[in-house]
Amino acid sequence: MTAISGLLADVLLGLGVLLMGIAAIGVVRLPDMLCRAHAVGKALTLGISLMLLGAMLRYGPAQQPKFLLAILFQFLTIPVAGHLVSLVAYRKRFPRWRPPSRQR
Amino acid sequence: MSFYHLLAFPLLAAIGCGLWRALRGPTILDRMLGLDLIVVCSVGVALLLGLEWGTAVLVDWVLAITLLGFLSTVALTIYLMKSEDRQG
Repeated sequence: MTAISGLLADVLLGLGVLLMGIAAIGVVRLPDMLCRAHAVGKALTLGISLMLLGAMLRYGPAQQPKFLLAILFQFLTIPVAGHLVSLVAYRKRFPRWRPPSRQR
Repeated sequence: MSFYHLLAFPLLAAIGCGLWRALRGPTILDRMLGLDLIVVCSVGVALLLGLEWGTAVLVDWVLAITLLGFLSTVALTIYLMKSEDRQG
């Protein structure tokens, strides 16, 4: 039982780190501010939540409510921050990327 | 070198990517997204550090860093919304 939960914790930590690396690649490579906000808002939230879940499996039941609160905070704050940044970019008409087929 | 050390290297690379975007970003919102990436990746590094040391103290740091990053983003957003100039 404990070996299986330890293995599951390691797998969850690895998946979380992988998703955060994907988010970093998206922040560097994507052409537009809105696309970068998309990369941060989805991949980063899921990655850090998976990492927190894996650490929660490692620590045991005594620390469990704190980890659940941390996961709830991640799911509340990161998408809201990404949405606010995208809203500013939309309202203030920041420069947007167009696909090359639709450029004039 | 344990498993947590190996997991920390991609997170440090992600912090480097966020720093590059924060230094180079064309607009101020790109810089803000880079700093957001740095904050979340530092949360992940703190988590791995707590697992390596075997303490549970760093979970409180995770909560504090998350809320600080969110408050800074909201403050900059409100400031940009109230300013009149059109970027771009």
